[in-house]
Amino acid sequence: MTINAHFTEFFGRPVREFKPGESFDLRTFVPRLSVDYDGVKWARRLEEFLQLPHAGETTHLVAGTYEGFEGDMNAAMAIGPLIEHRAALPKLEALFLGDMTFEECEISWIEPQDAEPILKAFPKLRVFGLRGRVSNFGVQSLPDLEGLILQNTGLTKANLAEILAFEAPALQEMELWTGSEDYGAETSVEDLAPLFSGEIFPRLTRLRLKDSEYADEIAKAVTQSRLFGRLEVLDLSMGTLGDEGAAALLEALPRSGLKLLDLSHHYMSDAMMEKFAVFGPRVVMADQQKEEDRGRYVAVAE
Amino acid sequence: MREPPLLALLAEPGPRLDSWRAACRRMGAPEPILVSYAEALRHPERLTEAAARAGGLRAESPGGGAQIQRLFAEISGHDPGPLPEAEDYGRIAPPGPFLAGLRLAMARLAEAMVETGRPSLTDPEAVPLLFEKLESQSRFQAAGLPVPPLLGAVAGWEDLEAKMRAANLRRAFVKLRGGSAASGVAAVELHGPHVRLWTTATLDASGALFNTRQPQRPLDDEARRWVDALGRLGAHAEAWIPKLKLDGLNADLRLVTLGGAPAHGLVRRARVPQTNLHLGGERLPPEALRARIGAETWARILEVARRAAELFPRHHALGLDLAVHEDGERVFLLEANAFGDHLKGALHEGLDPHEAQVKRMRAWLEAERGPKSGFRFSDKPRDP
Repeated sequence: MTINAHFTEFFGRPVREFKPGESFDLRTFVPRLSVDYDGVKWARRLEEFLQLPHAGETTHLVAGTYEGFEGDMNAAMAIGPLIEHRAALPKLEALFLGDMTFEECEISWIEPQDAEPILKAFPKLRVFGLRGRVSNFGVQSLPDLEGLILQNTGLTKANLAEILAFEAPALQEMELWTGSEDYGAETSVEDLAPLFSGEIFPRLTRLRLKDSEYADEIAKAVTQSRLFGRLEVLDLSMGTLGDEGAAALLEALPRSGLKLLDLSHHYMSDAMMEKFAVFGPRVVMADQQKEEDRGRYVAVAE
Repeated sequence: MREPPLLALLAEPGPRLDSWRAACRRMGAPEPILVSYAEALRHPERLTEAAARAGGLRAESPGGGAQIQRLFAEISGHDPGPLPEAEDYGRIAPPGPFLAGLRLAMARLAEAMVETGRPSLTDPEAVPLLFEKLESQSRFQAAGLPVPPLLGAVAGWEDLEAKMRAANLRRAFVKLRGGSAASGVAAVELHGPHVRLWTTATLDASGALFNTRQPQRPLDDEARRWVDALGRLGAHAEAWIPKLKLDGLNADLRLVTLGGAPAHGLVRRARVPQTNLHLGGERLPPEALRARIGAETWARILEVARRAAELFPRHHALGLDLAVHEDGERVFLLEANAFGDHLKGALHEGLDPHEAQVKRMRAWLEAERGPKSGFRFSDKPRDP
């Protein structure tokens, strides 16, 4: 599996591509700003967008491809211009950087990105998402942040430590991909202990730990954790979850408050899947994988 | 008087031979005489004898299996190498010995034609040329046909990258010299400092390539090793034409010309650049493309096909791969296949490509011998 489609929705609203020179219904749609391969830079696309009569009303924004085929792909190409024009976007509350399909840019090709400046420049963000590796988050105080999304195949220990140190008392939903060792992923389940303690992010109820090579360990640890009782959504999709982790989830599910357990792209046996059937649509088990000679693979492994 | 067989077929057992037998049966013609490639190459008189007994000749694809590879290598004086083992299944062999063997087989066909005076649906001179993809593309280019810009032979990654950059090409197709059925075809993309391949082979640690039906997408250094492996086998490259998309999938057209006229068409589409049907390409009727591009562009496709077929006037059936650029305007001839007329389910004037050729052979023979020759065939199109 790969990322082969753009967002159709972001933070509850439908996404539409912004086309220069055309009007845009900002009240209904989230604008997606991307460049084609015609040499136009993302900065120029943003300036075109800001010429819309009501651009200052923008609350949600999605950035797609930043560059054409030559050169490095890096969110800095959007971050710099966004910071420069931050006064023109006073109401921005939901931002995603890097909504690109694998055809446009393999996720591992996105150069490590410095996320510190954009979060410092927009401290009132309610949702922040970024695709691709991150070099630095810095120390962040984000009092309004409700949702955080980080999608890449190479989550480092430093990335995770910085995120878990965010001062984000309002955080309700977190999506992290722990990724593949082949692409620089460094974390293990022990690194998640501060999160599972339930002491940080007191309002966190939706946890998505995806694309993980240690999904079994996550399942076992999270079900034993103080955080677990609070969770409404647990998403361990795109990883290598097998019967071992599934057994822990199965045992813990009846005493949980989970409304959704997403285990899509998993290595569970048919027998294990049948045991989850009694929970109906609360448990999503799409895309069963078969273990190959060389082992299990996360969904996005490059 | 018992009817003599209509066709002597130089062919191998398999679906293609089955299709010819079925076509003869449906057209009311006697069972064709089969001469295998091994018989034709090891016993030169067999093909001539078969031709003498039959009305006319046709060669069919030898396929690319290990036995044929060994036969062709041995007969052309190459070392056939050790007997293939189970783990060698799908291994891509260097094309040289195969092409040499194919040329010898076609020389046998030419002799049989000369010695018996029998007509042939297959032009023995056209076949090796059509298997040499760089040569045939160059010939089309020289004739002014719209082929993708050609980069020539490539020895490996460095050579390919230099040629792509010199031609200002970001995307290229690397093809094995003498390849067919997408064997060893890799679509290469440069992406800034990165490289990505779309291919249908796997690369093992020793650098050997194996065909697979599972599309592969190696990146960066792995992709570079791939191109090196193709270069060692003997490869050439051309610009990768981004194909028009139908419902988001890459689409192209296999068009069979019969006697120089476009006849059977089949639109193929796939998520990956290789649309070959045996790799899971989806089949659509030609109307799906015609409706999308309009009558004028469609007419240009047919014109390109006619002009391509004109270059091989004695080769009755050509399987042409044509694509419309994603700009919706430009038409490209991607490939011409000597044995590209095995299209299940494609009908033209009520007949499939093999049935249509059975009918054509009968018409040739009747014209030559007159209607009282003893050849009587049903001319009734089968029920669709």
